[in-house]
Amino acid sequence: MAWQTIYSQLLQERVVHTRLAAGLEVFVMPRPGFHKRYAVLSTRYGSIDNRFRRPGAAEVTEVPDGIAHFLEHQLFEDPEGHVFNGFAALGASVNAYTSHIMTSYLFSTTDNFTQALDRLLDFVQQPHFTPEGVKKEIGIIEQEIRMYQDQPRHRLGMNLLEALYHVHPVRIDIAGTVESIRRIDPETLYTCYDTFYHPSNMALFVVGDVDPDAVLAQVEADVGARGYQPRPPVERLYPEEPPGVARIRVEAVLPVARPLYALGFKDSGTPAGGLERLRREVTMSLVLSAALGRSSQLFQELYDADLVDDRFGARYTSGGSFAHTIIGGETRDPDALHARLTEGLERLREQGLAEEDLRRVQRQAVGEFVQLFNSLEFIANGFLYYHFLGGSLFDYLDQLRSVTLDEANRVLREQLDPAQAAVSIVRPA
Amino acid sequence: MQIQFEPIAIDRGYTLWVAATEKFKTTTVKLVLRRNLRADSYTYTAVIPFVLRRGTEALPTVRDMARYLENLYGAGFNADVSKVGETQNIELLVEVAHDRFLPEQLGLSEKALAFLGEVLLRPATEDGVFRREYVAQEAENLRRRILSVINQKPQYAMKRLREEMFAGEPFGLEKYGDVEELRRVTPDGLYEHYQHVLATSPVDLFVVGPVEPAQVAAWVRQHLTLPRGDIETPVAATPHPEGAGEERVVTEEQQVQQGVLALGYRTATRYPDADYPALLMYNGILGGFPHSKLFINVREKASLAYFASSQLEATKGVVTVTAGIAVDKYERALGIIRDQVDALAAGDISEEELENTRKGLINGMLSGRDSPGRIIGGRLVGLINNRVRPVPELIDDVKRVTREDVVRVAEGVRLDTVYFLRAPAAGGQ
Repeated sequence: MAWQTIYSQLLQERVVHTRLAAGLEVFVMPRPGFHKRYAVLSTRYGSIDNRFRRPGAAEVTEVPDGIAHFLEHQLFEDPEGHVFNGFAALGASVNAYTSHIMTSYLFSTTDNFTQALDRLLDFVQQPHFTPEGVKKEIGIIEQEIRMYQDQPRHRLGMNLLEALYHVHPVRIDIAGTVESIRRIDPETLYTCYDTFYHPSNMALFVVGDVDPDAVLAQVEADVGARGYQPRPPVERLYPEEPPGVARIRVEAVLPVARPLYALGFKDSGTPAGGLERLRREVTMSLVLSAALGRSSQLFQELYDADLVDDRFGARYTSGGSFAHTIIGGETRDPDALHARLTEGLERLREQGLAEEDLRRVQRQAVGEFVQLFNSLEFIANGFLYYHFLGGSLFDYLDQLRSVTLDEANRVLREQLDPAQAAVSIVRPA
Repeated sequence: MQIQFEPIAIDRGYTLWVAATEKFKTTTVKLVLRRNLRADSYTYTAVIPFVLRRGTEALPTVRDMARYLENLYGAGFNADVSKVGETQNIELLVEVAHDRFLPEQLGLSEKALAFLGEVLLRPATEDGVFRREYVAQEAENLRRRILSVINQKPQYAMKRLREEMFAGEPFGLEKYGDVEELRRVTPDGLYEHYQHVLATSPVDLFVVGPVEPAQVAAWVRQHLTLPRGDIETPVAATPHPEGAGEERVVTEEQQVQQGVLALGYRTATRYPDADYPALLMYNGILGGFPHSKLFINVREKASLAYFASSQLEATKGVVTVTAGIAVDKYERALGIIRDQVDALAAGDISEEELENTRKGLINGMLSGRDSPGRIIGGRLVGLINNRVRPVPELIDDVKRVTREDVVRVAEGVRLDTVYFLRAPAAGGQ
């Protein structure tokens, strides 16, 4: 296998990568001097992938909400004991998480890296789903779901996504519901596993003080011995999401100290992947910093009017088949905040951002991006996230620095369109 | 490649700690003013960093400050209070990107120190004291911050447990002050208290990054010379009161989906003690890891919870246990937790539990060497406890801990308070 190299001049870092015969993509970023070695194995399979056509099949498979997350939990079952113990014996720390678009299994260790990597490859490639295991997991995940239900911010965010989207599965909680997870059985788990955990749908990222050739030799031997056959891509079936929002406003009453407010804008114009998607994400993050960051006029106005505190924030998320902006925080008066905020954003759409403001937040974003490279976790998880969306983390800086004022103002006008907006509010009981 | 602090005495009770390293992409600067956490002053002390963060003479508004920091390639600036044992510490943090990774060389390390000097020595004032508006807003923001903990049930349960268990002890005080007293903070009183804090607190200034210690010391003398009076060295923690250890149960009702159980234990061991490494092992075996007794027995075997873990506060010598459970599983969960604590005291600790915990602790400590924040945090805890434990030394100590050592620590552990946050019984209104 020959390595290809991606080098970042500014970061003075390199990532080498290759693709194995079975289709698995392998990335390694050497970071000499770090004690920790970190590996993450991810599949392009998230909570939104609940309707699909298996390769070669004519019929559509539909699975219960929350199953990707449930499967993630269940891969930790091992006939010889719990996976956590195997890593603990190596002094390694293992974990996993499920997002809308991907599921990731990771470990971090300062010793026994080779054995830990073997264990990671083993447990992710050897499912062990049983009725007893599923029954136990239903109890645990029910408590996880109830924990989220007691988090007002979680409710605020879920209510907003349900308002923004008519049918797209991003509006469904990643963990599913207490009812939907009760419909999960071992057979359905095996169907999902077989569909989405083929190496051609997966990628591995390793970062730390490691030798890329040794990592590659180990992974190639492991995956090569498992006899995978080539596989065409899975066909994911997302429903056609109509333009406009499902509901303009959603309110809930919960035992909170102060009201919570979130304003969302659905982005119907986002490209599904590649450099264009990355560029829109980068541009929107700059727009939101310039429009609503601590140095913006609008933030200062809202802060002085005692409508926001410094935990007020704005964020753009795009996952290929969906994209949106969420702005919000705690407030004494959600209605007053809504009026001032939407008025301020409309003013910005008319007048546009100033050149100086864009340049300043560009400098800020460049420096903050460099700072993030202290974190091996950020590097590995960030890299695979952008890779799965058809871009590269290393393109981020170039894209960031080349955004023009016209472009920023065009995206601002498109994305922060009141016709695509919904509001979610949580009020104290 | 060991990262080590070189201490440089700047003035009376004022030490500069420089860890010169090229490992990170940042320079991290943290200045800490250490105080006793005491009922008569803690509210005023808590407000100080938040008012300092509002502005300086030269950059009098949040917006001015944010613009300045954004132009320094997104320099991070935070001001907060921390509570370690019964000390309350004002912490000011500035983090800048390493010049080498930026498009231009601005000398950001020196600028970070100069900025801190402005914040501490030339805050925005009016009529010779802090600006009235800033004091009122920040005191109110802190009040809201304290009250909004109710939005996060596990944190809320922990806070309530602390209040109940440590009523009358400094450790029971909230680090952000008293909600009622916050209403009464005046600009005059606060400014006067600040002058006292500045002159009498031990000051530790940490710098981790690509710097040269003598050069940093010169910058500090130029930009950060502080007034020095009679230094008041804080006491890390008062002894547990005589007779403490009587078990107490506190139940509170809220409309929640999930009950939160929080247990507080007093230990006979603290950070400076010879048995501290054994206390680390004790907490790790009980509930610090996914291989620990609590996780395995409460979550994996009984399927009762999504989270079940223990936390150690070694400066005061306190272990807490938290678990999110169904309300009707209270007795069962409590029974299982008690059984785990009893098992440790009885020496019922497998070889595997002992060794896996040892490895897990060492992995955690070594991983901490990869994070500027954790390098600084570890040293600060040592200074507060007047017993610095360098990581290599502590690792050696942990390697030597025996089962007998853990049992000896376990024998000194006493359950003090059980706190349960639950939903009202069905049928009752």
